[in-house]
Amino acid sequence: MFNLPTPHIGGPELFVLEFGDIVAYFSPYTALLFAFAVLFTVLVIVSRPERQVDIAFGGDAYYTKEVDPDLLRFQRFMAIACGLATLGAMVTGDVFNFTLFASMIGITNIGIVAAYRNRHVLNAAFQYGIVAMLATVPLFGGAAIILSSTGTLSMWELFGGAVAVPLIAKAFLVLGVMGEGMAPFYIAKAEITRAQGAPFILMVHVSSLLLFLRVMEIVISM
Amino acid sequence: MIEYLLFATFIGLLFHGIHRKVIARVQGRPGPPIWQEILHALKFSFKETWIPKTASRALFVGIVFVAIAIWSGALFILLTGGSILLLFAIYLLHKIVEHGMGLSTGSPYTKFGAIRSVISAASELPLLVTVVAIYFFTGSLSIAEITAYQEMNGPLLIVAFPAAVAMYLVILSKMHYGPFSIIEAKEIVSGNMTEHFGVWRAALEVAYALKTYVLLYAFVLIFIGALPLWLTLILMLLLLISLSFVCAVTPMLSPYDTVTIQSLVTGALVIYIVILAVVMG
Amino acid sequence: MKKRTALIVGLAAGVIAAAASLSAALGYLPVLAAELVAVVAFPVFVIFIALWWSAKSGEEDIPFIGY
Repeated sequence: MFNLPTPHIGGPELFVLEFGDIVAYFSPYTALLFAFAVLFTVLVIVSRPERQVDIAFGGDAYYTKEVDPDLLRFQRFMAIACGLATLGAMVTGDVFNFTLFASMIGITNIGIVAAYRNRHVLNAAFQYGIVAMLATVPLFGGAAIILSSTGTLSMWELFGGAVAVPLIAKAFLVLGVMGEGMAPFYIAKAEITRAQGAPFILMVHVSSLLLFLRVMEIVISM
Repeated sequence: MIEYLLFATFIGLLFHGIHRKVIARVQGRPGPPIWQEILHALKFSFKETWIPKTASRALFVGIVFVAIAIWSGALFILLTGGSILLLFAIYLLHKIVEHGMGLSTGSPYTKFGAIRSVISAASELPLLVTVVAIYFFTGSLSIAEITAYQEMNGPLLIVAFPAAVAMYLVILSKMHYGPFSIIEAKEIVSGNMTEHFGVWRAALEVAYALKTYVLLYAFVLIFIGALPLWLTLILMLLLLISLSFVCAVTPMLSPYDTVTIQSLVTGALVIYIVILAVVMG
Repeated sequence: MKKRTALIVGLAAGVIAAAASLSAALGYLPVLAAELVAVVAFPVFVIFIALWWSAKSGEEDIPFIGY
């Protein structure tokens, strides 16, 4: 019934999941991204955070930081929420749903580090939050331009050759996703990495890299 | 299939040994024998192994499995003529492996390695530019169709030379002892690999050997074309030796210089893409 | 983990990967499925075989630790 119009980009479709007129799909490409998001969500669920070692400079002393169980629970909850949002963004077949999942990833990314009581980390999370919020304007703007110029948001329609998507809409989508944590806008992330809880902090990187990979597929296919 | 994986691991480790040998000879040292890295991997695998007390256990071990699995997957993508977008995805996922390895231990040295890996995120953007440039020429991202295009029109190395330069830089940024290998610089011990010792380190050597094999193979396949295995291996070796010369004569850059150079190259390539888009419509 | 367990898991992964590639070559299994099996089994094979031969058997001499 469905035929993915772009088998030469992410491979032929493997499996289709219908929710009314919103049709999620798995191609080898999105299936790989989905599997990777599942893998890291499972790692978040099963693993405990590391105990960071701090060295007291000027002496031989070093000590490990304590793990606060309440903080651990909150970080884990946020990291799992982030994993679920990533899963959604990987398989959705609708541009608006994709942008929604992308902005949800931005929110949960801040949530992962928000409870951590360290001035540097909170400063970095604040700056990251501002960039991510600014980035939602081009993100949703891109989706809005696509809807107003083509009359549809379904990737099944957009990937076919029949509709032409304006270049500015594609650029806006990429810019929006980059603002959620890719190359030129990642500045705050290096400081976020100070926070304890490696499996949860890692989810911040996993989600933004997977999101970027997915938006590249969407933009090249359109 | 497992036999091909073992073959690729062996060749990749041998390439690492040749890489060290060439660097040593360029710098006027005798250097280790070329099978040194194979011995290295075996040596690590015989060492006593445990998990550090401060590490996040599941992540510490899990990331090693992921490292081998993604590059074995990448090898099969090349062999079956899959999409180079998948290859790009795996290259980015390798970044997650670097982060995970560094962050999972709790050691400050590995954490520095992981943070350097975060800030050198500019190293994968040239690969993306390569992917887009190739799409402009061939209209397809499937490796099978790219090699078919090259049989018709000649190698992409000549047609899309700047894209080949970008991919060369990408491979260079992942070579050991190269100008961009800041994440395993010696001032932070071994960077993000510091705490992975014994069997874990041996498994990482296997993963890195597969990575070297896959990246060199991908370059030959994408820019020169599908050739018989022996000719492909010779071309991969020549490519590796040219990379070794670059690694031998350049000092390791500081983290910020690394990011600056990679960003400048990416910027130049984006301009190339825009020109391509205008010229080719 | 016992030394024996590591050997059994490692060998099982190796046999499964070899069987998958053999049955793909003979046409009993789609190539994609065989590749998936190989991707999952190969890391298990490498790591568990190495864990097996690096593990102590428990019968070593107690090292000389000085007077």
